[in-house]
Amino acid sequence: MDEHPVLVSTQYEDATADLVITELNRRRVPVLRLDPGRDFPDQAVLAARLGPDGWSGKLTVGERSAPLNAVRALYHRRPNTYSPDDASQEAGYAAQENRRGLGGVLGALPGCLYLSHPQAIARAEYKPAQLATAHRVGFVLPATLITNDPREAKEFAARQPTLYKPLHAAAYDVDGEPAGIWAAPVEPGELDETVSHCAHLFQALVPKTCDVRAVIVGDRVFCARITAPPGVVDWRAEYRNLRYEAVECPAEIHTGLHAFLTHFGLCFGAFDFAVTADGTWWFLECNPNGQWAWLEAAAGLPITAAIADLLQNGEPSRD
Amino acid sequence: MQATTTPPISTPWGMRRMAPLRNGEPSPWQYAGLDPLTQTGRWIGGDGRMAPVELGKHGTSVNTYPPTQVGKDGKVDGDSGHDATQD
Repeated sequence: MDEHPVLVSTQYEDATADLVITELNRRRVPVLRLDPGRDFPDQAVLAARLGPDGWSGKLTVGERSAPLNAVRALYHRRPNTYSPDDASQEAGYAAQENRRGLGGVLGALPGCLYLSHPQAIARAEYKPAQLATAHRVGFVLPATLITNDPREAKEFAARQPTLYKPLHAAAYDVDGEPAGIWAAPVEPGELDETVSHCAHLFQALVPKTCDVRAVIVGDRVFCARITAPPGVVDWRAEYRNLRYEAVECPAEIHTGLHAFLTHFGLCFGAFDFAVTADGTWWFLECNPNGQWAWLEAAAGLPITAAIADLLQNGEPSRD
Repeated sequence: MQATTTPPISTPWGMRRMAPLRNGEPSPWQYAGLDPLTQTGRWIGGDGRMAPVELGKHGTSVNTYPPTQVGKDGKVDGDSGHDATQD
């Protein structure tokens, strides 16, 4: 393979990665795509050596290989985990060694731009850390309570209109059908002692007129106003009834977004804001590895090109 | 010898709000393997023809089901990967 490839770490069926790789192909930037948790060790061969300038050597996947000391960027999208093949101790050992070995080398490549570094993404996935950082960088936030105390929860929900949302959106099912929990209003009377069975996040309900998803790529920001039918708290529940429009990012929000990414060492973030009638943008959350491609099509935001710019140049491009 | 009993695990309050997503449209696209030359997926459309991914045609949205990509075997297109579960 030519010098300075971009590594794309993701599942085979990731259509979003396809868009970015197609753009890199068009620009004749060499790409090595792999799904480390699935390809290694059967389909991929690693030989990494530590030298005076850090890791060098080679990673080969199928017909292609990449020199480890010349990877210009790593696009971390949706790779599978390093999962054991079975419940045996041997399989568990191999999975941990693969994760710390291949995953460790891929996370320590010299001169490589990470979009974004997997460990930075993992750290930023924690909502309590996000909220603390959002406050620190000056965003306006709704009052928030995380508790397993039913009495505290009731008091909070009685104080103002309140919603409940999970701290982490994992994949669940109900009778075999994919399921989830949307952010939705809570009445104090609904809360009972089962609040004590795990941590719960309650937040003051922002009287919003619309939502904004702000996607930041390097130092460029793309904002789409998302208008849901009246009364809808969580727009993801109403995909088929949303309107999108590209909007400008206010300067103070742009500054905050940049400070937030810098704090977590991220190159990308998909932020959700609720916007009230007075024009205030309320920080709801950041998805450090969030989805963006549907927004490019719906609101006409050139995000694929911005991501390709960053991966190609190995540094944020200037407008 | 005492019989071991598993205490009943009762559902946390928040989890009682779990409901089927049912917020997406089924996709006509079926994943058919990676093209080793382009390093992108091959997708077969409803008309049986192979096509690369195009913006707005293959869904890439958040937490939708039916899944926006048929080839994903019912996996949901979430806003986060596995990063926070393996950190």
